[in-house]
Amino acid sequence: MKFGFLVLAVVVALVVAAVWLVSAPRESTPHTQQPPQNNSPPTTQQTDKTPQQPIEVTWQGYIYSIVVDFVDPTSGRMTGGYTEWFFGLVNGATIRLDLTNATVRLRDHFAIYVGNPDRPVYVRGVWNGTVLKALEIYD
Amino acid sequence: MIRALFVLLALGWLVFALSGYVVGYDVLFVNRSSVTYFFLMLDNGTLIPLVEPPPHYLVGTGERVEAELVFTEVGVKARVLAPREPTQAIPRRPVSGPLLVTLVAARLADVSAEPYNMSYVHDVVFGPFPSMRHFWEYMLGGAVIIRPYYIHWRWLTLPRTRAQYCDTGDAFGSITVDVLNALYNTAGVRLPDRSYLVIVLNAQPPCYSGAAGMGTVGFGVFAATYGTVRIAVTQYYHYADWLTQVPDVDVFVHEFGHNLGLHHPGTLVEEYDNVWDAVGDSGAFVRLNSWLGTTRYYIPRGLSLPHLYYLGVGQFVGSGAGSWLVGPRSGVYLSASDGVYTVEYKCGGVYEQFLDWCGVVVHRVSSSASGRWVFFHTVLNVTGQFVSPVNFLDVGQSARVAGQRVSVLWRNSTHARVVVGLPTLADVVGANATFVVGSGAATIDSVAAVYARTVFSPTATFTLPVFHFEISNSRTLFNPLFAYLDDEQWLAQIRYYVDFAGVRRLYPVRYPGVVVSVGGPLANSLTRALNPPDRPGAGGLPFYFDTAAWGIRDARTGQVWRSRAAVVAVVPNGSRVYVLVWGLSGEDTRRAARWLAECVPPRAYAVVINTTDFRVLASWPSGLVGASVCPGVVYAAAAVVGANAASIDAVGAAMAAGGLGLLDSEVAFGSLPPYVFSVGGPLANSFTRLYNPSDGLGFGGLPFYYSTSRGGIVDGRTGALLCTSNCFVVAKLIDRGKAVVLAWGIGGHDTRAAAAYLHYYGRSLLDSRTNTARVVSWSYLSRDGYRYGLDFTTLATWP
Repeated sequence: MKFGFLVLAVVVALVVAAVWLVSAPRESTPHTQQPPQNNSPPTTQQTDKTPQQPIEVTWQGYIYSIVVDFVDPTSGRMTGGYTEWFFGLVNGATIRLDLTNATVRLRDHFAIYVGNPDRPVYVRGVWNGTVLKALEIYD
Repeated sequence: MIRALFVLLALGWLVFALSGYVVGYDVLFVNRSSVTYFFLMLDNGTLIPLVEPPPHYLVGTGERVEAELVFTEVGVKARVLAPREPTQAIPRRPVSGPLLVTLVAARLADVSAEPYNMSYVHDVVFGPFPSMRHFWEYMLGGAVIIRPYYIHWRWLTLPRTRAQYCDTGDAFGSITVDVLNALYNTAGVRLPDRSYLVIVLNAQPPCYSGAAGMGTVGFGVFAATYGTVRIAVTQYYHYADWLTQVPDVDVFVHEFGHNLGLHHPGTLVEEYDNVWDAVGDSGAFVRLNSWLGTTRYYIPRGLSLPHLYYLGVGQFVGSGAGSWLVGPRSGVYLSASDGVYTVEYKCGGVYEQFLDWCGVVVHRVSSSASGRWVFFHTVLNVTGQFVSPVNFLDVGQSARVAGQRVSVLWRNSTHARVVVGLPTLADVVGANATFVVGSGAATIDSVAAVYARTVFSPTATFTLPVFHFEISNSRTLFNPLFAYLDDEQWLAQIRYYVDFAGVRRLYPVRYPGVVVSVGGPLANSLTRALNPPDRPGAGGLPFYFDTAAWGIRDARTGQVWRSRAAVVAVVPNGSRVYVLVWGLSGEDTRRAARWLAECVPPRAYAVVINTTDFRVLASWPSGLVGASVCPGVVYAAAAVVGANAASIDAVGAAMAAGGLGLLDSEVAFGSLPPYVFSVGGPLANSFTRLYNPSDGLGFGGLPFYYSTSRGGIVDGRTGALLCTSNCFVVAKLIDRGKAVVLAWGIGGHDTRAAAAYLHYYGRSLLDSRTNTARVVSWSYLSRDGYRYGLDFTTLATWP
C-alpha cells in the first residue's frame, strides 16, 4: 500500500512537471536560445508527430521551401503547384513553417534568405509540435 | 540675396538633374601618340569636359547617362555616375564556381519499371545542348561549372512503396533521406554540404499525383544516417510514357532553377505564365540533332532579367527616362510604389532562338515575403490564363509601365533600343519603320516616303503561320509589307494566348514598326487622326493645320506659317509610336522627309521647319529654334515614280529603296545616282516606259512587256501570255554605267509586291552584272481571315 502511494505520488509529480514544462511561458533571447529538446524534432521525418499544447517560441535557423510543380501529362505544360515552407534549426532539426501571418523585418529582400544557410533568421511564432506558425521573422 | 538664392537653386538643379551623352574625340600627334578627350554633351549641345575617362561602353553610344558637376582648379567638369543599382529592390545572390551534382535514378519499391536507361538520364542532366547542365552554364555565362559529383549508373531500389512514402507525411523528404542512406550503404558516398542531388523516379507517389517534379528552393536540411546534410534536391517523376522518347529537359532545368533560389515568375493570375523564363513555363517541343539522330525535346527558352540579376549575371544599364540599348542579359529598371519594373529584350541565344517571337518584356519585382517575387507584367492589357506570349513589345510598340511610357524603336537579334519617356525626333532616327501614305494623295506626297526610308530601317519582323505545334513552323519571316495606304488592311502579326476559359485564341496585331505617316491631315487619314486640323494633336502636339488661316499654326503662340513650312513630329499613341511628316504642299512634304534624311533632328518631340533652308521655325518643347545641322548625305539610289501614278506605286517604292524620291518628269539621267529604281508600269511611269514599253521588247532585248490587247504580261520570246493578274516584272538593266531597276505589275498592288520582292529576294537580281529580268506571280499568305505575309512564284526569267 505504501509502495503504491509512493508510485502514485511520483507519477503525479511527473505529470505536474510535464504540464509545467509544456505550458510555462518562455522569454526569447534570440542569440542564445536553442529550441527545447522536447519541442524540436531532430529530423523532418518526425515533424508530423502528435500535436501538443501550442507555445510561443523564438528559434534561430534558416528558411527554405520545397516547390511542387504539376504538369499536363499530354502537353508537358506546367499547370499548377504549391510551396511548402520549412525551417532548418541551428541544431540540425527541420520543422514545417507557416508564413501566412508572418511579419517580415529583414534587412534584405526575402529571396536572399530562402534556402541560404549563410543568412539565418529568427522566427518568433507558435509551435504546436507539428508546424511553427511564424508571427515575426527578423535578422 | 535673392540672386544668390537663385544661383544656389540653379546649382542645386544642375547637381541633381545633370544628364546627357558621353562623346569623345582623338587627337593624333605626328610622333604617333594620341590623346582622347571625353565630354558630357547636354541636350542643348553644351560640352562639359569629363574629370575622368568614362566607361568605354558609354562613349558615343547615345546612351543617356547621369552625371554630377565637379569643381576643379581648371574649371567645372563633369563626372559620369554609374547607373544606380537597385540593390534594395531587386535581390542579388550570385552563384559561381563548381556546383557538385549527384545523379540517381531510383525505383520505388512497388514499381518495377525502369523507363529510361542511364545514358538518357545522364544526357538530360549532364549532356551537351540541350541539357540541364548546358542551360545553366550557358545562362550564367560561364560563372558556374556544373560538375557531376557522383552518378549512380544503375537504378537504385528504394525501400518503400509509393503509398508508404505518402504515409510519412513528407514523401519528398523521405525519398531524399532513403536515397542518401542507400548511396552511403551501397556505394559509400556521402554528399557534401551545399551540393545538389538530382533524383529521377520511375513513378509518381499518389500524394504527388500529377506532379512532374519538385525542388528545394535553395538548400534544405536532410538527416542521413551519417549526419545532417544541407543540400539542394530535385525529384523528377515519370509522369507520361512519351517521356521515354521525348526528354523533358524543361522540367529538369526548371527544378534546378528552384535549387538556385528562383521561384515562379508568372503573372499575378497564373504563376507559371511566362514563356520567357524557364522557371515559369517556357517549354516548347523542338526537334534537334542528337546522338540518336534526331530527337524531339521539350526545352526551356530563356531566363528573365530579374532572375539573371539575382544569380549575378544580369545587369542594368540604367534606370528611368532615357534611350537605352537593352540586350539578353541587360536591361533597365523603373521604380514604382508596388515594386521595381525591369525591361529587357529576348530574341537570340542558344535557347532564346526557339521563342516564338522577339520582344521586349517587362517584369515586376515585388518585395513581398511569399515565395514568388518576380511577376510577368502584361503590357498590352490582354488577360487570361496564359497571356505571356502576347504581352510583349515589338518594334514600334509602346506601353505605359510604372507610370512611364516605354517604347521600342529598333531591334536586331540580340539588342533593342528602348526609350523610357516620350521619344524625341533624335531617338527615332534609325528606328524600324512602317510607312503609310494617303491613298488619294498626290504622288509627290507619297514619294516622300522614299526619302524617309533612308533614315529608317524597314520593319521585317517575325510572326507565326497562325497555328504552330512544332518549332519547324515557328517564328518566321513571311515577307511582310512595311508600306501601306491609309485605308487598307494591314498584314497581321499573329500571337496567341489562352483565355480564362482555357480556350486558345489568336491575337493579331498590325505588323509592328514605328509608323511613319507621310502627307498632311487633308491627304492622309492616319495623319488626320493623330494631328487633325484646327486643334492640337495627340499627346498635346501643338502644331496643326489651320484651315481658316490655311497654314500651320503653333497653338502655344498663335503663330502661323502659310508657305514653305512642314511639321515633323513623334507621336506615341495607344500602343504605337508614330512619326508624322507633312507640309503645306506636296513639295513641302517631300522636303520635310528630305530634312529627316539629310539633317540631324533635335531632341524635340516635334518641329516646324522652313522647307527651303531647313531652319527650325518652332520646336516642342521650345528652345530648339535655329538653323538645322545638315552634314549632308550621298544618295546611292533613287526611286522614280510616275507623277500621275497611284499613291500605292509611290509608297511601294519605299519598299524597294531609300534615297532620292523623284517623279518621272523630274529625271535628269546624268544626275541620277548609281541605282535607279523605276517603280510603276509603262502606262503609269514614263521612265519605265523608256526601258520597257508596252507591246514590244524593251531595253537590251528585255522580252517581258505589258500587252495592251491581251491585258497581261507577255514573254516576247514565245509570245506566251504569262499572267493577267497578281504578277509583276522585275528587271535590272545596265544603262550608261547605271543600274536601272524596274519594278512594275498589272496593278498598283502588284507593283508594290514587285518592290517587296526586290527587298526580300532581289539580291541575286541586283548583283547581276548583265541585263536580267523575271516575271513573278504573288499572293497573300492568309489563314483564318488574317493576311500575314507574301508568297512569290517565279514564272519566267531572262536570260
